[in-house]
Amino acid sequence: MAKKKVMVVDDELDFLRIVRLNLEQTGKYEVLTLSSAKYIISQVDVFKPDIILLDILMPGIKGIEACEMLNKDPVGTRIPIIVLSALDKRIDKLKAYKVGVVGYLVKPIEKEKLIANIEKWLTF
Amino acid sequence: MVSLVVGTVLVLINQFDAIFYGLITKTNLIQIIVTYFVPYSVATYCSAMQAKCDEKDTGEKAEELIRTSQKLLSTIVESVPIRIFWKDLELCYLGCNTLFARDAGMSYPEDLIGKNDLQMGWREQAKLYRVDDKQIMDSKTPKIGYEEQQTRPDGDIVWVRTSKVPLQDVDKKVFGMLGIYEDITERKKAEQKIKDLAKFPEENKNPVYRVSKDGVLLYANSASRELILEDRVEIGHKIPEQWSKMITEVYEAGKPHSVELKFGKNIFLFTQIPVVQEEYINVYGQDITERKKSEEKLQTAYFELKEAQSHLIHAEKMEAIGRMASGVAHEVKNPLGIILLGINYFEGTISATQKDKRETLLIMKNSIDRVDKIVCALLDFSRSEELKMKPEDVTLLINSSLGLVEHKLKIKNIKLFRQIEKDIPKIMADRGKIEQVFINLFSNSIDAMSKRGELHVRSYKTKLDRPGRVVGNSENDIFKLSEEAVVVEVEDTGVGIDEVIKKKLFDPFFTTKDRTERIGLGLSVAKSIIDMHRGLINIESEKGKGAKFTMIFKLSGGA
Repeated sequence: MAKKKVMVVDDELDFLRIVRLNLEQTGKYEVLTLSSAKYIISQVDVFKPDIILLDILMPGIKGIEACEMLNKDPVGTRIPIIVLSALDKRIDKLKAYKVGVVGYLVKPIEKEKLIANIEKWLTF
Repeated sequence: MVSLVVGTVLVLINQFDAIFYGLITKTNLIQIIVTYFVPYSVATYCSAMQAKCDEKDTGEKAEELIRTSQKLLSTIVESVPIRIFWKDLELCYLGCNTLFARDAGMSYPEDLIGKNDLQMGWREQAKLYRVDDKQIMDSKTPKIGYEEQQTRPDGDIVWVRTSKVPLQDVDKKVFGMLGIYEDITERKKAEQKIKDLAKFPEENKNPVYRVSKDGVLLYANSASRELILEDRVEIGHKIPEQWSKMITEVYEAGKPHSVELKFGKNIFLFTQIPVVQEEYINVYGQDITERKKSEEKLQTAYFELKEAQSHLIHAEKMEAIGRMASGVAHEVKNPLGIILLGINYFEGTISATQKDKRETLLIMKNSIDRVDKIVCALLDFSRSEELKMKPEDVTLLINSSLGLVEHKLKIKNIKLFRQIEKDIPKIMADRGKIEQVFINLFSNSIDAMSKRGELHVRSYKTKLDRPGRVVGNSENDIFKLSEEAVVVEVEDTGVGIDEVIKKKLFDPFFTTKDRTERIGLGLSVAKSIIDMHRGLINIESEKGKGAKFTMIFKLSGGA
């Protein structure tokens, strides 16, 4: 079975590495990590991820802004986005859902829960 | 007869000696002249004149004596600093001295002879004078030292001190009257001035009194009598011992001293000023009841202000802590996420048989969980703006929260007593947050009790009729007086809380529990949530006597 493509966007390099290690450990995912949302559109067009895990609070382009950019992109708009953030305020969650994210996960998150959420959206 | 004249002269000379030696006063002098000398001299003189006419064969020596005495009498009458006049039975002037003549507006005594008072400048008073004169002559009784008015030719009215005596011959037959007076206008004016000055303390609405160094009341104005002495002490009598003691102390110290004393409902400030040379103490009282009340009000306002300031500082501190907590939480959650996923990664590399490694990783995960809970609590604390307010039934909120701690109650065998009033009005609340507060308080109470404790949960509607920290009619008061509100009480029979801990109870990170068990944000979060609801949370407790938390909520229809 072909591996599902997961794009992870977070400014925390260690977090990107550990997410990649965990996802790849399952053998089910091909992971592309981005430390900034700056090139997200071009990378989406090239990598064509099945799902995007996106941080909110990043230097430069913020997660919400990146979502809006993806919504305008013909490829990007079809990709489910799950927010993976340390922000736990209701207002942040509301803002994220408003720009069309499918899930909002708060760090720290267990691998199991993360994968369950990814899988939930990959089945569609 | 000659001897009489000589005797008169001697009396006069003797008296004058006394004057010169300053032994008698002016008033005494008048008295003496009027009572002794003048009538005596005049009568004697008249008798001598009579004798002179009768006894043609009187020797030259006797005549000489009469002339001498006549001259002396005339000199005296003109020299004494008083007015002298005499009248006949018809009340016509027989004679006077120059001073009197001038008072009557004439230059010489001779100008007056034969005239009566109705022809004088003092026409207005003539009737009175004449009544007196008549009475004196009829009764043969002198009238000494009385005060009356006299109108001068220029219209000025002066005060005089008059003495009048009947003139009698050797046979005691009245043939006229003699009067003297002195102008006492200046003295009267001075007396009036003194009287006016004396009114000054009397008119004072505050107590003013004077006490001798031995504690005898010398003077007390009306205010003192009414307010302080209350007719208990009369002038000339000793004041009560406790005051007397104080007065003596002040007198001995020789310095003014002020003391505040309460009389009935009033408070007085007494300034005691010793006048050592006069051996008395003047006491000036001042009713300071209103001032005291104002001072008390001012002090209360000051304390309220201080308290408000302290609350403000506390609130600002809390806000700063909230902001910091939010930032810290975010910064901590990111590395926690990495660690947790790291552990998860290693879990995937360990076989089921490597139990020690699995257990180690589990312990690490539990620790991450604890840190995450702390961070979540910190976030709760800082999350003041996120309220979803709507009318809520407080009974439902209590019951749902109690449902979540039911298990704990059972384990500790704690009896639950619910006293929930029926039909309590709805409150404006964020359901989740208020449940969080209730759960927190229930859990704290359960933790504070050993087995077989009692947890009382009460709820009722009330009318706030006592002013308090947030209850009043000022703009800043959260609850207005007479406002209706809902009260929820959570009371336990646990270990109680002492005063020192009570003050810190709502501070973040303050806990009396084991650090591994609690992080000390529960009550500060509860307070923060209640504050956000514009409500009130209070604690009443004593060490060893349980604790009672009281919360007051605004009604959903309230301001």
